[in-house]
Amino acid sequence: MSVENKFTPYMREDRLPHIFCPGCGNGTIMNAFLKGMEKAEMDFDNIAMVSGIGCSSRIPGYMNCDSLHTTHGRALSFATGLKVANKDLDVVVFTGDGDCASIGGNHLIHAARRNINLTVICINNNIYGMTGGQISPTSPKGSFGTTAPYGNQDAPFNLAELVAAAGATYSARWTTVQIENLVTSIKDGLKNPGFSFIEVATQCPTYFGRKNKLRTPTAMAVTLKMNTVFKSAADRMRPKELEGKIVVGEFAKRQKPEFTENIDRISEEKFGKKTLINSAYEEEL
Amino acid sequence: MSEEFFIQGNEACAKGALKAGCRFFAGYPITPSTEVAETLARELPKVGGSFVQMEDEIASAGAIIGGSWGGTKSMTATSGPGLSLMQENIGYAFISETPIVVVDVQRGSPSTGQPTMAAQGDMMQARWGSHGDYEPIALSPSSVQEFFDFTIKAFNLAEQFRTPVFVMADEVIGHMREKITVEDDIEIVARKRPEDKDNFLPFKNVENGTNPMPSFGDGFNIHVTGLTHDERGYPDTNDPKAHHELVQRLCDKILNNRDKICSVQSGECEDAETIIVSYGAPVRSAIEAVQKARADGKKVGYVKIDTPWPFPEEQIQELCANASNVLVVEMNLGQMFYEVDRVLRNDTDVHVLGVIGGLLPTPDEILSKIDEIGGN
Amino acid sequence: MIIINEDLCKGCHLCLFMCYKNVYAISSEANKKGVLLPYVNFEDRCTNCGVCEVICPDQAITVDINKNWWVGQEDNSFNPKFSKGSK
Repeated sequence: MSVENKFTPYMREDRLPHIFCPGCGNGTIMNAFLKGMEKAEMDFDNIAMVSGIGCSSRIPGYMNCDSLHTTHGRALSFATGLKVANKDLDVVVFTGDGDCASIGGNHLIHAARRNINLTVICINNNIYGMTGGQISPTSPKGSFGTTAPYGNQDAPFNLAELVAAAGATYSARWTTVQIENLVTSIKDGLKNPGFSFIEVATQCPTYFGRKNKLRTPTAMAVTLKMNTVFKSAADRMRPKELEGKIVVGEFAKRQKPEFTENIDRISEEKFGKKTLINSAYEEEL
Repeated sequence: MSEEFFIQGNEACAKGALKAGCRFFAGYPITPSTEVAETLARELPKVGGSFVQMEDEIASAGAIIGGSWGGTKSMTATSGPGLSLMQENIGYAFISETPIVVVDVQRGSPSTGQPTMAAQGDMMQARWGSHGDYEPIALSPSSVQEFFDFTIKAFNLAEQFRTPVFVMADEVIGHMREKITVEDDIEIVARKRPEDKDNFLPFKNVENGTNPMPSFGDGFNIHVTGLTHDERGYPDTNDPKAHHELVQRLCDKILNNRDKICSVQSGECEDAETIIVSYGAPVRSAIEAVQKARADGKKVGYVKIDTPWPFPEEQIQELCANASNVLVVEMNLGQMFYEVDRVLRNDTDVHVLGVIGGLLPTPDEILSKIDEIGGN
Repeated sequence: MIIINEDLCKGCHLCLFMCYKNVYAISSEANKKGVLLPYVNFEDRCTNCGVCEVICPDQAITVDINKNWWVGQEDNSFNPKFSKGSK
């Protein structure tokens, strides 16, 4: 082929095609991330990716950079350690709704509270895909899953607002069908010197779709598009009107001191020491 | 020139960590290990290190694994309840071959138990706590000096074999104050960085089982996963052979190097008819019991296990070969007893003096137990 | 020019859905993987927006143009700071 795809040079090409189902949004979000990274003029060499367990957490395995595929829900704690140990790295966390909102919910709010400079891309497909279609903490009320055969009775988490309330300096929500906004948001998140959280509502035709009468990727994409309400419009809508809608937009964009900089500042101001990087390779410190 | 300090066990541990090159500590407050975190929170910024108080022990274990891949020697300290929470991530450190040090200052258990009292109830948790097959390294100090020395040794072993290492102290050692001597020429093992950037395989089946370890950002583009992986680190979960080879290598790299890792100390064993086997704080009582018994003309000796894991089978068999009775003294109802019994049961009668409740077994308790089992 | 990598395409047809100029159509016969591949039916309608390229979850679509909205400049070279890739 004379023209090479724009995204595959960033990927471990020997591992493609990836394991994601046909029509899965994860691949789209990989592309959107790479576009956002190019727009932010980030150095791909300097990016390290961390993920937990789940479909979305397989993404770093396909990216040609240092990647840490960790235990379920704990990606943010590993990323915290990695970032503190080497603050020069640009650490990106790929996580899913089950991974970061359910088992890793505590790590999510604490990472946001610390405002540590991580970019978290939370791929929210409203279901546990890898284990076969169980409901997740973000499944809409009334939706079906293998563990909710009579419809989900629980209210879902509103992740972007949760993280904004916990203290993140950047929090946004978009869907896979709003490519342009998503790319811009990823760019802003990467540039933001603090905790950036980008929730991407995505389609899971294989499990969420099958259980909820939206079997094709296109049907799911249509639903996503139709249910999207921009935050500016949603602010003027009544709660009743917003039922079942996906509110997209930016939920937090502010400036706050960053966690690793605070650690540096204490070392520097009080003791005149620079935080060491790669000190494990030194025999004498 | 060596230096001398009169300090608490937990402070000695923190001092040892700094000496060994630890520059990242993530932890969560838990009695009786908190002084390790407190000391490092104060000292790490002075030497260009970082301290983070995480939201729980699960996150602490995760953070130090992340920190280790970030190129920094990392440690956490906890007690039994925290160690239980850390187990999943410790298993991850085993399969991903991440050097970390986990200090466990043991307390009365199970569950919340006796936070301020000593015990040795986590010995089997250190061995089998995470799921699956793996071979841990654990060191058990019985004095403040040893807590300092073993913390350094733990970092060295972790780097040497790219594996998690436990320091299994107990509340007695953690809170005791003693004099320690810090020598000038302490051996510190630095991490080895691979040389060939293009053809490096981070999880290759090399001869001694341990590969050099790049850090994130070095440009090796490595993939680290807790899934069964091939030599490149890519997941390979459906091949029975790949899984067997990986787990076998991880176990072999420890088991085949037992002569370099295992260590025991002993006294008066040559002619002893009864030998006390112990580790950690109870060793102190055992030694005094031996002295008292010898003064009474009884042939009693002791073996102190420095490295409960991997279990020093050969050394113990050798030392106890001529004894007719072996008494295992420990602060649980019998955990390492089963290991000692496993290696000695064909030649010797193995008994246990298990003391729980939080107080050290006294020399007199040990001596009356020896009388009870018929040793003289 | 739009190129579809037939080895990577899994046939989700999101490209059809996302293309607001209806450039794509679905072939009537499945390929050997059982995938109904999309093909470029009306290339002259293409406005070089590049959305299909990003939406394609399998990195199967390449739009060979120099004026995608996300490039910003006249060239679509990779990130100038990117040194590790095959290019």
